[in-house]
Amino acid sequence: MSAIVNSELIYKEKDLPLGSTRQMAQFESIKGTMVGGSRAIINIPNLRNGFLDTADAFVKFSVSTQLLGANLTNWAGGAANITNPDGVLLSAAGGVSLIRAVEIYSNSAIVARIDNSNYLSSILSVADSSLNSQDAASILAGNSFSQEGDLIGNSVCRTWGYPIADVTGTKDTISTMPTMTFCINSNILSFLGDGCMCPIFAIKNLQLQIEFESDVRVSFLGTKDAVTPAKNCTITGGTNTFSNVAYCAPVVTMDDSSMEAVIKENGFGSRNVMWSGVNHHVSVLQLSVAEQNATLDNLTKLVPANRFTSLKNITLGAFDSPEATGQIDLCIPRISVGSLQYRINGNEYPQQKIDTISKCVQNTIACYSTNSNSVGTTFMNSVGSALNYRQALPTGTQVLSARGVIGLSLETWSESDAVSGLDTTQSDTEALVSTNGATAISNSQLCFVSTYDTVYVVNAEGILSASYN
Amino acid sequence: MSVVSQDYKYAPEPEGLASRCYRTILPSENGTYGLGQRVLINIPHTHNGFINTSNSWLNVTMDIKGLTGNGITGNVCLSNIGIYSCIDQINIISGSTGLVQEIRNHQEIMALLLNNNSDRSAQLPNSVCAGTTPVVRTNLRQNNGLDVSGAGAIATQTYSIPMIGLMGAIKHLPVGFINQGLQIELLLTNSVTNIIFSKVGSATAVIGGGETTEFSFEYDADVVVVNDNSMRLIKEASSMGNSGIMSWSDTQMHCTTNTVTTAELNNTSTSFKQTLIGGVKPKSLLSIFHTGFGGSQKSGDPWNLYAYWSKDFRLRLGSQEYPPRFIETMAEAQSHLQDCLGQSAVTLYSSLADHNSSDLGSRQPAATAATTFTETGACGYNFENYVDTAQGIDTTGKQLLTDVSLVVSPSGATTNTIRAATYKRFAVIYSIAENGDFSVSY
Repeated sequence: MSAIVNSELIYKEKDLPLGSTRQMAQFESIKGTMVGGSRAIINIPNLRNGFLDTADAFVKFSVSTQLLGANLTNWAGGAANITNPDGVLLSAAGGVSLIRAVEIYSNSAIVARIDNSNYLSSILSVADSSLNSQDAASILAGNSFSQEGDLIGNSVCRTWGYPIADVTGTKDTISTMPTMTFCINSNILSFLGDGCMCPIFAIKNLQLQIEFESDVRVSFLGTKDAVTPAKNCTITGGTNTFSNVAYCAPVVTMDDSSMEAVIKENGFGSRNVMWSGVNHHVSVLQLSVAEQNATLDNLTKLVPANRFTSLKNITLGAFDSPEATGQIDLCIPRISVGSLQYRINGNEYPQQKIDTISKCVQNTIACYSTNSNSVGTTFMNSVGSALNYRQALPTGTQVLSARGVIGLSLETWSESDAVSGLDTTQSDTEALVSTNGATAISNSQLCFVSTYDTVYVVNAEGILSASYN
Repeated sequence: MSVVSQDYKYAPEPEGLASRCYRTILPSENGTYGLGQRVLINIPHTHNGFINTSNSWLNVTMDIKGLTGNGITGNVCLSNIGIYSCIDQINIISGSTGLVQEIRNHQEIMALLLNNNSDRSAQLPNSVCAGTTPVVRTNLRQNNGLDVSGAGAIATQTYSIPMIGLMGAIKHLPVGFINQGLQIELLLTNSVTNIIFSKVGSATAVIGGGETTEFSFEYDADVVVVNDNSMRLIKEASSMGNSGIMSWSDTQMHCTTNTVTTAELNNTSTSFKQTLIGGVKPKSLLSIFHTGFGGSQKSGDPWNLYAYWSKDFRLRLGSQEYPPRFIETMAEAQSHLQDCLGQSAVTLYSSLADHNSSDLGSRQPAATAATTFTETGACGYNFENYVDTAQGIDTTGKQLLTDVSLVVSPSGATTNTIRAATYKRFAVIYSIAENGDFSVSY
């Protein structure tokens, strides 16, 4: 006879939580309106008895972009006669394409920096997002929405409204896109978005800085129409204008007796308090036209600054370079190499190269979940994803956004809450890639995303720091 | 006990067990294999080693050659189950103890799981890795086309597929304890028409030939090696610390097929057909699935799931009926099926089946008809007492029968038989003895 009572048969009421209140707070930028290239600076106060529930936190911002080009969406013919409504698309990566970098400071010292945030978010999205979540993501963050799974970018005017008739007028050569608002927490907020209960009461002078994108072609692209010249939209420049920038997070405020229990449990104010998190580092290297067009078997690229105590995984995605017509989505990762292998600490990972697209997909899934036909998700599919991608000028209307990344798990016990990544602190990381093709027109931006374990420390003086190598 | 909840306790994560991991490829004994051949992949004994089977997979290369027939160009499709269609059977063999796992009718099992235990999100990576169709919205999955080039050849296809059973289980496989050798045995299908099909009727195209098709296989393994102290801790935490025998629980799935004749399918008045289901009689049967596949005449996707029974479905186990009343509609059938797969809630439904493709009474089309749908009809019945406990019903010494009603289809009589497929999912216990013998019991 079994002595175990199954959980379904154990009837208990839940324990009462610690006395507290919870409300959504909005920490606003000290600047009201700014143009691309500027930084939003958001100070997060040292709230008494306060915790930030970062699992539900996001950055909110609005953007209005004046585009320059040809055959832009406009209403020069009047409101009832919108011209070329599908001319301008937002990148399939959505609103995160407008964010260049995120930095977090404590007492004026940097705690976390995520450069190339748009690349990072886009790579992780292709690696680990699913069509099931894409529907809501299209509303929240402007990611491409697609019933068929082709995941092309969004038509700005069909999704967010008509161009704004501002002082410059709205013409086919200059047109201001409607104001779009996004709520973003796409792995770019470090510990301010990773799910911990951030003990803001114990941290002094916490500041979030967000650097916005200045090149409009990173976020917008014109629709190629080879049949009707009047619908062939090109984008040559423009200005992003940002407003309404804020960090939004639920704040849990404890009553004094509950706070006393938490302080006693953890030792805030009397000793260092530590907790674990996961962070990302982005390195961008060039794969030149000559390298792409040669047949190279073991081209070695040194992945810089990839030294961590516990490297969980490393993911490669390649991005296109800007070109004159602005008709290419610059925020979508592809696979521009024919095979990939890393050499770390003198060992090859994996022992045999990743040299087929199906191995790329399985290795990527292994970084985030089990390799099951039921639960494995990525945005790669058999129609759009391929090795040896080469940037080319579009020849017709975009019907499919080919995507691809190569992830490699380096963690032993990924399914448990234990630190078990690879120690790379004493060694360089070399990426061994092969190339095979002769059609490249631009450099390919090889973007390596390293995901690593981090320990955050709040000392007795309330200074936050991070430790990872 | 502290009153402070876990969310407000701050501590860094502990270090994992001292170990290292690496990914390597285990090749098959031969380089290439033909249709109907037997593939063997040896899993080496690794000191203090484990294989993380949930993050390991099978790499497959398929080279279809010598297709013949008129009008095949542009009309050849890979089955909706992709490259899984090339494997009839997967066995795991360990030394003198023999079969640890025997999965017959592998394609039937994968057809059921891929259509009823995955969703449109999983369909994207599955299309790359297994060659299933990339179309996510509609059920017109005959669009999974393969281009036929000169001399009836199709460009070499490469796939990486997770395996079911022991080599795709949640528990790491402790190969460091198995001293008697371990082999993956794959029995390949004997006809290329079990892998590909013509999406148009026989008047336009009929696939023939393809006997020279070649395959190659390798197991892409995620290997974990721990140090001696970690191994000692693992032994202590496992049952091996007390009894000297390491054993753990898992589940397996077997499939048995029975023929339903055209005379039975074309009865003009409703008749009931009872079928005795052979195979194992496990001590803990967790669930039963039932569906049908096309007969010997090749038309349409060979791995379509036809809910061939006209209205009523029920199981008889020993002297009892399950459920007491017949399952009479496809909605009920699908609800029972989702229950078996742990998805019985509106937010958890996960299936590629829809109301267009899973009608009761569906039958294999005539060879002259074009394929219009990937059929997904199936039914299930859950015997598991508690969620995820693997506590099912004891079937030792009991006979299992399926009971279905049959009547001729309103759209006309069928010319094809049906292979009714009944699946048993049951609990097993794997054991490794002190001398390294690996065995299974159920």
